[in-house]
Amino acid sequence: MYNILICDDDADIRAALKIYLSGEGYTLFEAENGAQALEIAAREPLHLILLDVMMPAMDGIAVTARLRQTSNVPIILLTAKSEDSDKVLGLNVGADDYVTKPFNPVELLARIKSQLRRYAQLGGMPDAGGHRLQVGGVCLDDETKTVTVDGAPIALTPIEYNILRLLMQNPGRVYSSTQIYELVWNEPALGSESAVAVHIRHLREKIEIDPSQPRYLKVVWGLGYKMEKGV
Amino acid sequence: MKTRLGERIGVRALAFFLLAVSSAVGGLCLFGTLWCETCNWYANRKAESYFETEAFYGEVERDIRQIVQMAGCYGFTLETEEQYSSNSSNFTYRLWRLDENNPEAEGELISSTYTETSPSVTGSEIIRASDLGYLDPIAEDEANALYRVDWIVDGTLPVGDSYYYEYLLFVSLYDERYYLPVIAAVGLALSLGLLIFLLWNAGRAPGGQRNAGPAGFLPLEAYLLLTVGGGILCLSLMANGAQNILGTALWLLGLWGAFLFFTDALMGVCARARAGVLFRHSLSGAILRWVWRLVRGFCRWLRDSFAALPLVWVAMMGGVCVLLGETILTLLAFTSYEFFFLLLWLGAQVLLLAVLCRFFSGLYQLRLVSRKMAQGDLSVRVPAKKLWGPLREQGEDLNRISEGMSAAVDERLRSERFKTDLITNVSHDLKTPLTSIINYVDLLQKEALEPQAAEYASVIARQGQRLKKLTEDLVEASKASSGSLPVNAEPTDLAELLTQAVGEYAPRLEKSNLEPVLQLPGEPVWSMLDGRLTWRVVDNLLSNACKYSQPGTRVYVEAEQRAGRAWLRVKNISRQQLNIPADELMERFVRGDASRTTEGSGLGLNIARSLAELQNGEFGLIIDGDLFKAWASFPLSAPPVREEPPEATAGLSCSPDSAPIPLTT
Repeated sequence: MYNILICDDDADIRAALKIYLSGEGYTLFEAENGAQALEIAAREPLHLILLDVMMPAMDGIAVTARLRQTSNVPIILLTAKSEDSDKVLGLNVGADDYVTKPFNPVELLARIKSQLRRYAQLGGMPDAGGHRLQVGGVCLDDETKTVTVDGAPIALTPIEYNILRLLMQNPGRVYSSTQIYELVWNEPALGSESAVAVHIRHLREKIEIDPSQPRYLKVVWGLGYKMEKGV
Repeated sequence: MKTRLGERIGVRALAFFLLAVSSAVGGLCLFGTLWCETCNWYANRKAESYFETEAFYGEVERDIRQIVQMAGCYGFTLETEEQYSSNSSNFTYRLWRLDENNPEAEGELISSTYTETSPSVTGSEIIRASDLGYLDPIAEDEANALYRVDWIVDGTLPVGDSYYYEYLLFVSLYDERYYLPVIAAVGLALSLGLLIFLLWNAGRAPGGQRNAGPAGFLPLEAYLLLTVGGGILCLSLMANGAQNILGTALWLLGLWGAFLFFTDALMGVCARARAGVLFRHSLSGAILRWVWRLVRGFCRWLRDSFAALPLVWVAMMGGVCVLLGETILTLLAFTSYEFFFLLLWLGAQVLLLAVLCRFFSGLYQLRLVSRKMAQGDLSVRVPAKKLWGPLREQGEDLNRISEGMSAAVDERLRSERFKTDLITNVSHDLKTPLTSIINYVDLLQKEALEPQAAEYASVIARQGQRLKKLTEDLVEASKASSGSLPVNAEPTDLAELLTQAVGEYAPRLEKSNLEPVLQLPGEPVWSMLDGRLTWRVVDNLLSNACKYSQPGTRVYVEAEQRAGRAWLRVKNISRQQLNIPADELMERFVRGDASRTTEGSGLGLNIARSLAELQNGEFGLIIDGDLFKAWASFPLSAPPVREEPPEATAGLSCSPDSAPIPLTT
């Protein structure tokens, strides 16, 4: 089973996380500051670390930077800071995901599972052939017409599948609703673009853990939609 | 501080007294020396007796000439005989008128006081009237007259006349004649030293202080009048000359007195100069000062009374003066035909033009600056020092207003930022305990609870979620209103954005039993916006629509391009009666239902307005009965430089007629 380190200076939050995670059968370690976290990380073989950002002694950003020098263990930052600049900083020093307090326990569990799946499958990933498209944990096989997210298969409708394929062909490129409509439905839009928004939302609900904070399928407001490039 | 000797007034008085004495002694000795020199006593060492000295014969010569002149030429025989009688003079005479053609003859005796005595000194002399030098021109026939004077001086000098005094002087001086120059030199050197000492110390007082001296209370003029006047008076004593020994004494006394008076005057001037009151404490200075004060006061009065007049009156008076002057000058110039007046007229025109130009350029500068201030640029300042008169005052006032306003704006910005920081920090601190509350309520709800307890737990869970939303909104509202949110504006299609937004909101609208109606112009509406911020505006408006709309109604979402601006509108029918003014609804924590029981923080519209204004937009609400309209407008922009339409990748192109693809899971 997996070893997970919970690092937070608030004992109540650690206890709550333990209750949630122990139900899933993980082996849990606790640390109440950054120094302890580094100590445990050096001692135990860990598979995932939940790390608070604002802690005494050594904050989460510094711990992440230190851990990344030797290890590629998944790190999820937990923090009360919700500004975009804080998220960017956290992800840039090497964190894999970012969850703001107060968090939804179900969503946090989903993110933990997703990171563990990817971590466990790293290296065992088959080569992407001409018929395979991959963006981050999202994998689309155009031969078998299957889509997996972090290894878990997803059921899509044909329209959703075509939209996803279009966006994954050019990750980072922004397609407007009209373009998507014309390329997927293959007919002039003539005011039917609003259908695209609904399909995109459904697609996002299937491939994203938190649809309102998408990692892969992003809304570029006022311009269109895109598949995130560098995940 | 040590008191120096010269600073004591008593020492100076003593020095002055010494000066008087030493100058008197020195002067007398000098005079004696000179006298001895005229008597040739230094050359002729043989003069053993007074009656052999040059001085004696000089005296005799003088008497002879006087007798010839008075008794011979003018005929004042009686007076002369009285003056030279043996009772009143040691010198007696016989005056003879000689025949010009035969000087050897005895001649005619004119007057005689001749008295034989023993011992005596006698002599005789022939003198020509013209040799006297100062005969009246009328008595020209007398010019060649010859006179002989036989004289005799009583050797015992019984009468106290000038011979007697000269004899006394001779007796006392002759023996001392070699000491006199020495005493004179010492006395005069001492006088010079004392004079320098006195002048150097004039005006000094004990302890290094300065004052105008003992006579400092007198004005300079009065002091000079006293001292210089006294000196001149003394000098006038010398006017009689030094014919005889008494006259000489008087002459010397006058010289001495004048010297002392002038020394005093010099000392007074030095003292005043040292004390720095030479002109201040003088009548002429006082008069000058008084006149100056008078003139200055008058000028001030003129200026003040001018300044107290209203500007209109000043302008009117100035205008009348200019017009009058102009008219007179023009008449002069064109009736007199004089080149000078023509030139004057021309000069006046140029001057008038220059003044007008200056005035209007100042006015123009004021206008420029006030226009910029009105446009919100508070950094501009009027160069008030280059302006004059009322324009300068105006400029200075304008500068003060600008400074005051920028200070107020800065202060406001600072306090807003401080508030934002405070709110952000507080909400960070709130989030940690909130996390535990939400988590443990969630855990609680998973336990097998009594129905009543489960209901309580769900209330806590709901309110916990509300608190979470509230902290997030609070941070966002304060950030949006203080302007500390970064804005990444780029050309954005408002129509596309609304399409996306309605797509996002479709399930929530459906849940609230609302039907969205999207009204778009059919072409993109480009505007410089930050898409994420504009989405938050629309998000807040649609969220409100979901929360407060009457179920079963339609929600209109519109984009439009009109009057050079991009407009977005959200209209819905309120579920409850809206009895709050539109402006108040946009304030923080104000909600239409005023009950605060439903979900929501009351910050949504405030955030929407702040975010719209951050993007150079405007935001407003219109309440018309139950119809609730929210609008925002932004400046239009050019469409972005679009990349090429996406090319379909080979092998992965969407087949136009592809049937729905069966998907396996």
